[in-house]
Amino acid sequence: MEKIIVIFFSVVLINNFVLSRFLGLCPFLGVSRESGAALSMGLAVTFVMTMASIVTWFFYYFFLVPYQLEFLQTIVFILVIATFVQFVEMVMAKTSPALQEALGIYLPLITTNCAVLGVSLLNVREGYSLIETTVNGFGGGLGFTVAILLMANIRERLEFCDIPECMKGFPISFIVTSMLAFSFFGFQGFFSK
Amino acid sequence: MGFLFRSGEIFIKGVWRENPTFRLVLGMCPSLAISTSVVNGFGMGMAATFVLLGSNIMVSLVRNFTPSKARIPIFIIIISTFVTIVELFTEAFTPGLHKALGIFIPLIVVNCIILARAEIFASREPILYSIADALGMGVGFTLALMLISAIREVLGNGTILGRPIFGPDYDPAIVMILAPGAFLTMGLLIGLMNYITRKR
Amino acid sequence: MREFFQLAGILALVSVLSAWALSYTYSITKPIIEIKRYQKKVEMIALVLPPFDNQPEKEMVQISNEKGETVEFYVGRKNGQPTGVAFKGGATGYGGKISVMIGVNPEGRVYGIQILDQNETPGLGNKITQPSFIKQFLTKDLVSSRWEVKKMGGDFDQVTAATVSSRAITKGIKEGLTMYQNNKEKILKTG
Repeated sequence: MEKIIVIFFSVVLINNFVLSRFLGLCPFLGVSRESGAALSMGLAVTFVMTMASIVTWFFYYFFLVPYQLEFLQTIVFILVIATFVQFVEMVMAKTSPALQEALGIYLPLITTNCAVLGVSLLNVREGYSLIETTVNGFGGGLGFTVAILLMANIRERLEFCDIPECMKGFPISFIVTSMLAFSFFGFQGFFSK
Repeated sequence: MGFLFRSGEIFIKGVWRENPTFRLVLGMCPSLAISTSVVNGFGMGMAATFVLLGSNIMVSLVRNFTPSKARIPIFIIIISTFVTIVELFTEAFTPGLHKALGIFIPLIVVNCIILARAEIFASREPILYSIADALGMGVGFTLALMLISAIREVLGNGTILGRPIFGPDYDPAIVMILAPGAFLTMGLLIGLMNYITRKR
Repeated sequence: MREFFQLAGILALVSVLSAWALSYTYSITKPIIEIKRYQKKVEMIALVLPPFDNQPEKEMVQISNEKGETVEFYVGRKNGQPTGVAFKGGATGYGGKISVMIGVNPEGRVYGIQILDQNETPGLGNKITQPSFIKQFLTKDLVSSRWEVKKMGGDFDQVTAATVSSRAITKGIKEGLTMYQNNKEKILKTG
């Protein structure tokens, strides 16, 4: 139980996927202009990361390991993730058009989000059990959401600032991210005795 | 002769005007994560270039046979095949690099640069131009990585290519090796590139 | 319907080609990877053991610890008599797992230490890999020293501003030595 709590807080705050592990940067930078969109993206990513962690875990331990095909994990995982996202889109179109409206365009983008493939690979490399994997995936998504929400709120306020032309857009976003990363660095060593 | 010219044009474009890192802002994840030393930057650049080359060639070869609806899964299979080949080769022949790049070797699969070039370029253009594009983008990416790594390694570790360049009393700014320094370097470099290209 | 079969057909073809390319690559690289891993293990063992003339990696004793994990003890011998034992130790540091190869003489005194894997903060915690830090553990055993860092009442120096990493490696070595002492007879038994 203790290990699960450690994993959860680690992945949300200490080893934040975006600010510490450099995963999920493309959507982080692309969708953090407006906090509503950021929240939608965050929720979508959390959902996909949690489910992908679980599904890829099953594929790894019930298919790749028994047949000694571990070297195929990259290709199998990415195909599983892509298929899963397609499947979710189809289900959403039929069952909840409102949800599809909200999350619609972000879902296919998440397939190439390195955070999703990243967390699947990490789960396997750390040898997590199914519960630990689920917590890691969920926490990872939550950490991403926290980061992207912070970023979006800051960028909304940046709109009113006087930024030099060459720094507008990506450069200033990166510098802001650098400061966010700095502040999250303070969480390191949280669990040391 | 015209096609040689055009190939050269495409190549140069990938290196400078449409540099994937500083102008297209693609492939950010590995650019920031592994650029802690020039050796790592070069290694990752080479690995990504290999995958990009293989992928662009294959996608261009089959571009007239791939139905539009199936193209993304086919691209993914092609790209991940080359990435797995790189994974196995680095583990066998360059274990030091394999360990340093870690999880970012398999993550080349979702490196936006490769999928973007397959979708935007290789699926529409003949093989020669696709090769030029792959080489241009690959070289551009590698050079960008090496630049970022050089800055971070010199300021954050006091070494270049593993060799110390300042005296033993130099106290490196460790933050440059860590996450905040990475983001800062990238932000400032993109800003600088914007400034240079705007002035022209 | 026809379109579906066309799509499926193309995908199947691409998958088969991919599978062929990968199996071929795997069959070439797998033996090389295995050899390299083995060589690395042999190298690490040799670095921490007193001189030997046998092949310690072949004379391995497996013992389970309280956590249920299996630890392998490699016995080095000269003229048939044990000169030392090498085994892996581990601890959780600031940035994750620290893995270390410990070599002891038959009584349990530290002969050599090699850090195999660590993820500590560059420039701070990762200074535990430096020989100047490691050498304080050599020739020590469970009886001669208090296995903690000086700040916490022990005998070992810590890396400045990296207490967690220092304590972790100290604890890891101590736990390894303890496990060795508890199973000494079993390990040294001439097979």
